[in-house]
Amino acid sequence: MTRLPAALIAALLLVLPRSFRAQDAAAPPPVVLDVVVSDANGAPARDLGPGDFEVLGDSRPQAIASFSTAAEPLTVVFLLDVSASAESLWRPDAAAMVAALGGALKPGERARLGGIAGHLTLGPWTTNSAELDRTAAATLTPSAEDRAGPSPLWDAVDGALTALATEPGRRTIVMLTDGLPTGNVHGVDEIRARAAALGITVNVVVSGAGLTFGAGQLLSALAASSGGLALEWRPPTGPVPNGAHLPAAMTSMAGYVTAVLGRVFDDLRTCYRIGFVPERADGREHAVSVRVRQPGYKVRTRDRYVAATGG
Amino acid sequence: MEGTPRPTEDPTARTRSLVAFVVAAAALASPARTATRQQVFRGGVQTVAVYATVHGPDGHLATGLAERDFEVRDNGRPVQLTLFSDDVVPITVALMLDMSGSMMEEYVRVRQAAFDFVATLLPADRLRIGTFGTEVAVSPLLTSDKATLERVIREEVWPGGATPLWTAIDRGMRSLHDEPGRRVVLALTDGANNCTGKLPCASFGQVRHDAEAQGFIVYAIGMPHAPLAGELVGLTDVTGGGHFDVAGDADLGATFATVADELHHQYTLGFTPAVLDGKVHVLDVRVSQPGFTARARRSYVATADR
Repeated sequence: MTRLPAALIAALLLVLPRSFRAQDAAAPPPVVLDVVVSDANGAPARDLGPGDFEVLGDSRPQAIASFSTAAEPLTVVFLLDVSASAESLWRPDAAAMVAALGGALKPGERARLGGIAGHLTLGPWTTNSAELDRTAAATLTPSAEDRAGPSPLWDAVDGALTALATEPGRRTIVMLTDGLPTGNVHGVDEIRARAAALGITVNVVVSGAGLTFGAGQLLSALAASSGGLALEWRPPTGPVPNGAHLPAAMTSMAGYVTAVLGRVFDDLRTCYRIGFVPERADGREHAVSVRVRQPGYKVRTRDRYVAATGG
Repeated sequence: MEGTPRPTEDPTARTRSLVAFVVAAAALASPARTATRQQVFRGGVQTVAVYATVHGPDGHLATGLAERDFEVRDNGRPVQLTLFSDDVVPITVALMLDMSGSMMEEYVRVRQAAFDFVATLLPADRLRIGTFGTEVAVSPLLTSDKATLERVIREEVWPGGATPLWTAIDRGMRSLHDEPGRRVVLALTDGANNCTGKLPCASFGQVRHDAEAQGFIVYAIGMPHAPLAGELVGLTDVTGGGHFDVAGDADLGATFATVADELHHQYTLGFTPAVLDGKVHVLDVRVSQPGFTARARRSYVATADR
């Protein structure tokens, strides 16, 4: 290959149209999507290659600019609704809940506990069960006034997003609640947009109000938009016959949450990281979706991104 | 002669006086202020503000009355009004919606009525929305922005739980404590107070005392299957508010609209008390026109500014 002399390059730069250079300098930063794929049986599909995926930005196919399957450590915020309306659902299992989070962390991963009552109380960053144990009581014991309500779930997710916004790597929020948001400054659409723009997944475990009615639908939509999961736990109303319907661990909420954290964390640690360069660096929100070309696969990823301005 | 406007002696002075009143009231909206909300001080003169709703013989709201049509008595003695206005003054309202379990079947209807109430607000009115049931949840947003209020109704009004009525009204009042001007708590409920052990519960006596001492106006709307209880009706009476029992499948939104209409057409009266003895004084507001009735708060505390 013939190398161009430096003087020639400088001359070419001078004669190139100014708009061309400006456009080059303002090339949009790439958008990176965390993509979780399961097969037709619901099992994680972790052997796909870049050619198996199709990325659509604003419904138009996008060229995949980067592709990775390398596992990465997680940064997690685990929010528990400690308002009076929700607390009784899990308070008997509080220690087990905290232990579930500690047990789900791997070396190099970090987590913060958050208690949602009248206000969000976020604990310090921790890396293991012992640290979580030491800080859990202060984080999850609201004042009597705060405990009486409201339950600002959207604001709590917003606080968790702020806590994670500057953290590197794969970031996720898991929120455990009875599913009735009240007393928020922020609306759910605002939070959905912010979570998706930051590329932080929001996972919701609801017990009480469910996911099919009113607020549950809002919680489901929030989780889906971010590429997260919305799950419902119902306490068994009677003996579980021979464990036929629920594994033993699932007969307690702590057991269920342990299983959920394991799945959510594993999904995210081993998900595909797919990057593409958006067509425009306009600072605006755009729709995005990812498909596996072969039939039978299910894909979870965020449904929007913000095309950050380049430069 | 409902609604017949009468010329006043000096309308310009009246307007100036009202502006001064509003400015003074706004200046009092500081955290350091105590429970003397109804007392407005300007140039060393204390004014007790009284908001009156007047109905004519036909039961309709009476507008266009003049200062001379009103008589205000303080502990039985007539007082000279130093302030009078029939201008529309913006309202500040905490709307507390009963979302107890028994309201489950009325849930859609109540939400729609709340939307209707928002639609009746004038540009300068401000509303905060709260619910009571499993918890007492008061929105942090006190706003004139209808889109925001509609978002709160869509996303934050959910049924379930008991009926902590007094706690709800108490929280509603506290949420407006530092706000200037007329402060109204409007409660929609289908039952008597039932505060469970999970919540810090306010008592009726405490709520009535605070409402009277701080000059709150309390309105109540009762659902068809559970007419309003006597204590709540009494609370609306002593604070100069109003109470409505919704009949059958009557339009709940229309009842909310009636409340808004009343609030937008109240007369603002003010007088300087003869003594500041720190005691509760009985107020009596009357309209001299035959067949006209006035609703206004029935007491104030004659406390000097500190």
